[in-house]
This record gives sequence, structure tokens and C-alpha cells, in this order.
Amino acid sequence: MLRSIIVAAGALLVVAATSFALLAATFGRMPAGDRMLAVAVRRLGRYSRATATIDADGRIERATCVDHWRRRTSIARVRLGDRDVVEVGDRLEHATRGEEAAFDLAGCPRPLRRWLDTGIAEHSRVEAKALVHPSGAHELVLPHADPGIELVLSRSDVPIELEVRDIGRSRVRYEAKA
Amino acid sequence: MTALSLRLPLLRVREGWALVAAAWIVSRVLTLAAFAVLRALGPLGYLGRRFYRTPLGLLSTWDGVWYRRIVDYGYVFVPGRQSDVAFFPGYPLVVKALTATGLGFSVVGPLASNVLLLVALVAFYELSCRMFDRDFAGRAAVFAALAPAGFVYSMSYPSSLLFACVALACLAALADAWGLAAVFAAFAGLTRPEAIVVVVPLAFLAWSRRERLGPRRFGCALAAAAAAPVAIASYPAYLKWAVGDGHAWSTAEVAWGRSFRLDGPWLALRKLPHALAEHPGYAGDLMLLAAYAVLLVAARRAGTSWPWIAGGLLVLVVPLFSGTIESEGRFGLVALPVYWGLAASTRSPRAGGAARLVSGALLVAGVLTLPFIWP
Repeated sequence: MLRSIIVAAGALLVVAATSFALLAATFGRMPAGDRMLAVAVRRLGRYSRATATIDADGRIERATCVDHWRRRTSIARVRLGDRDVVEVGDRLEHATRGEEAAFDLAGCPRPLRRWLDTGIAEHSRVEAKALVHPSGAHELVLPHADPGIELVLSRSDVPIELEVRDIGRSRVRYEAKA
Repeated sequence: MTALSLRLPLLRVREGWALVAAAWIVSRVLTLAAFAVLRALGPLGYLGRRFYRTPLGLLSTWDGVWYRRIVDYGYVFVPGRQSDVAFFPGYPLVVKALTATGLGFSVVGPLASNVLLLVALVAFYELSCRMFDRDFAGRAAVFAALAPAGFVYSMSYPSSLLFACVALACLAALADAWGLAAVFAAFAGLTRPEAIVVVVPLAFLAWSRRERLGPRRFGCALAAAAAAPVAIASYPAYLKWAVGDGHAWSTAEVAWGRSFRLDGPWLALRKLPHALAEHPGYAGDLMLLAAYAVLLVAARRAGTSWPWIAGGLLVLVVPLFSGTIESEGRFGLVALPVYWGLAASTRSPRAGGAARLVSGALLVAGVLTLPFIWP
């Protein structure tokens, strides 16, 4: 019986190794940048609040964002100074161009997830390049996203810096869901 | 000779194969004619214009869209969204290999499915011949060809490949070609999780022949019985390496409303009225599930041994643990004893003719409702 079990275990090891090798050789691996982006998207799902220090056209502003649901509609509310910019579903309500830019840079978890996962899903349009940031964190560049975006991910794979092409940059900090 | 002892069981061309081939031709003509009607009607329901641009475009809709992505780009995982990691790799492996001939996915996908169905039907006929008489085996193979959900055998779906691998694995095991049985069972596992249908019959066969096989070949037989689950498990291991998440498959299934849990069957039952109101197409899955269950009982009464019934039952019950009855009609296609149950219930020519007529009509109806009901 022992001999049978050893033969079976050996054969099953061959099955597992061959299956893995066949898949790896045929389909390869998701590019490193896309993989990191996927992890960041998953990590962002843990958060519902963000605070950001925004630098747009040399103007420094502080923004706080809260994501919540109203019935089945996703709402993201960004507080900029004494005014609110609100996104209902995927549409910003009554926002000026400057407010739109500030909203993008505020890094609200849910809208940012949507932006990034669209980048991965439509991977023919996105090149996610993973670079090593001087701080040791990772930097992802999505030059073909609309608009182009760069993010710096912390060691725990959460974005800590965003740079949106032709708009500005921000430092963000996320807070867990209440 | 390898440790797995690969031995080819000798198969001679039999007269019965002509009947199987005829059933294959009739069922595919019916299916493809229904697709031609659908194409002539133009864009309908969920099927937009892009599926009508090429002559065979409609054969690669629904899941075919995802398999094409896998063939073209490999696996890409997007957490929280529908992703191609929800689709097992066996079928895209075969199609990708065949696209090396220069033919595109929209040709190779359906072509492979249709040809593999013929292989599956012949293997199933041979398998049935080893357990029942030839007349019975022929009737069972005809019903397998005309199965109402069997229109997916003509589409870019993995159902034909799975059916072929399952039938060939069982056939090889019956012929004591255990190395070959392990190869087919493993490939079935890479193709769809329903490959677990082979586990109980192969384990039973291996155990019942242990004295005759000797220790080494009995070890091979045990490996063949466990090959499908091991191959299934190798997919998450690959995903861990390829997309950075070993749970990607189950996570992606959530985006399709599936989540494996212990109370899944109860949840599926509780959600049923709401699901039927929202997606009336589930009524077809519900009816086919009920029919499969009744036919398993009929197969048992016709003398099918319990390991085969248990395998068929597993195929029907395990998907229910995902909390929905969606696609049960398609998943049940590889519950092989169902066809034996139907063959046993239609011994008289009149009953057999009526059952074939109803099956054929449902097959055509399945195609014509494709713009509104996903398989």
C-alpha cells in the first residue's frame, strides 16, 4: 500500500507541476506594473476616506474625501476649503474645471479604484510601468490612461502620491472604513 | 514506459460510430441553422452589432468573449470587476495552440468545439458500450448530442473539450490505461471544475481492481482518480504567480454573483423567486436541473452503479454552493448518467422518438433565446 501511495503522490506531483508549467509557458504572467496596480486597487477597497494635500498650478490646497452609498448610488464628496465637490455615480455635479482637477487629485478611494481598474481592464490602452521610487516605494506610470496618471505606492501598496498629467500632484492618506 | 504507464486502449471502428456521427451531424445542423436564423434577424437583446460583423461572430458570444481575451492577452485580473481569471485555462490552451495555424479565434474556437464534440460522443458511446448493450449506448449518445443545453458545444465554450476529456478518462480507466486516464482527467480539471465528475467512478474502479493491478499500477490508478482535483488546484497556484492573487478565481466569480459558501444551496433556493423574476431565463436552468435529477434516479434504476451516480450528482450539486442555479443546464451536460437515465426511460421507439424531438426543439430554442438568456 505504501508503494502505491508513493507512486500516486509522485504522479500527482507531476500532474501539478506539468499543469503549472503549461499555463506559465502559454499565458505567461500579468506585467509587473499591472499586477501592482491590481494590488493597489484591491487595497483601496478597504478605505472610504482620504485626505490630500494638493498642488495644482502652484496652488496648495487641502482636501478631504468621503465615499458612501445613497441607495444603490455611489457618492464621493470632497471638501475643498469651505465648498464641497460631489460625484454622484460617475458624474461630477456643478464643478468648475479647477474643482474637477482638485477632485481627481483628492484620491477618493472609489473613484480612484474605478479609474485604475478601467486602466487594467482596457490594458490595450494602458502601459503600467513599475519604477522604484527614491524612497524605496514603487512608482506606477500609466501614460495612456485618460488622463495620464502616475502614482507612488507605499510599501503596503496604497497610493501615497498622485500626479495627474497637466493637472498637478498630491500627497494622499487613506483612512479605513468606519 | 513511464511511471504513469501510458497505454493506449485499442479501439476498433464500430458500426455504432456511424449512428453517433449521424447524431452529431443532425444536432450540429440544427444548432448552426438556428444560429443562421439568429444572424439573419440581426442585432437583438444583449447581442450588439459587433457580434454580427463576421459570419461566425455569434458563435463566440457570452463566455467566448472572455476566452478570446485570454487567448489574445493572457490572464488579467481586475479586483472587484468581472475578469477573465474566472475562466479556466484548458479551452484557451487548446485554442491558442490551434491559432498557431494562422486561423483566428472566431474560426478556431467554434471549429475546435464542434470537432471535439464528435470525439466526446464516440468516447461516450464506447464507454456506454462497456456498461450496457450497444443499442442502449447508441440511444444515450444520441441524447448526449441533442441535449437541450448542447448548443454550447458549437460555441467558443469549453463544454465539448470537457465532455471529451471526461469520457476519455473514464474509458481509459475501464481499459486499465491509468496513465492515459490521469492525463485526460487532469486536462478535464484544467478545463472546468465540473471535471470532479470523474473522481468517484475512477476511485471506485481503482479500488475494485487493486488486487489485479499490483502496487505500482494501483498507485497510477489512485493518481488518475485524484488528477482532476489536483489540476483544478494548480490553477489558483498559477494565478498566484501570474496575477499575484491565489484567490483571484473566487474573487472574480463574486462579480458574476457567485460566492462559494456552505449554505450556498439554501441561499440559491431562497433567492430563486427573485432570481426568476429578474432573469426569467433561469427557469430553463431550473427545469433542466430537475430533469437531470430525475434522470439520475432513472439511471440508477437501470442498473448504473452508485459511483457513476455519485459523480453525476456532484456535478449538479457543487455549483449550487455558489448560491445560484445559473448555468446549471450547461454544467449538467457532463453528468454522464443523465443520458443513461434518458436511454433507459425511452426504450420504446415511440418514447425515444418523442424524446429526441423534444430535445431537438429545445436545442433550437436555446439558440434562438441566446440574445436574451446567457447559457
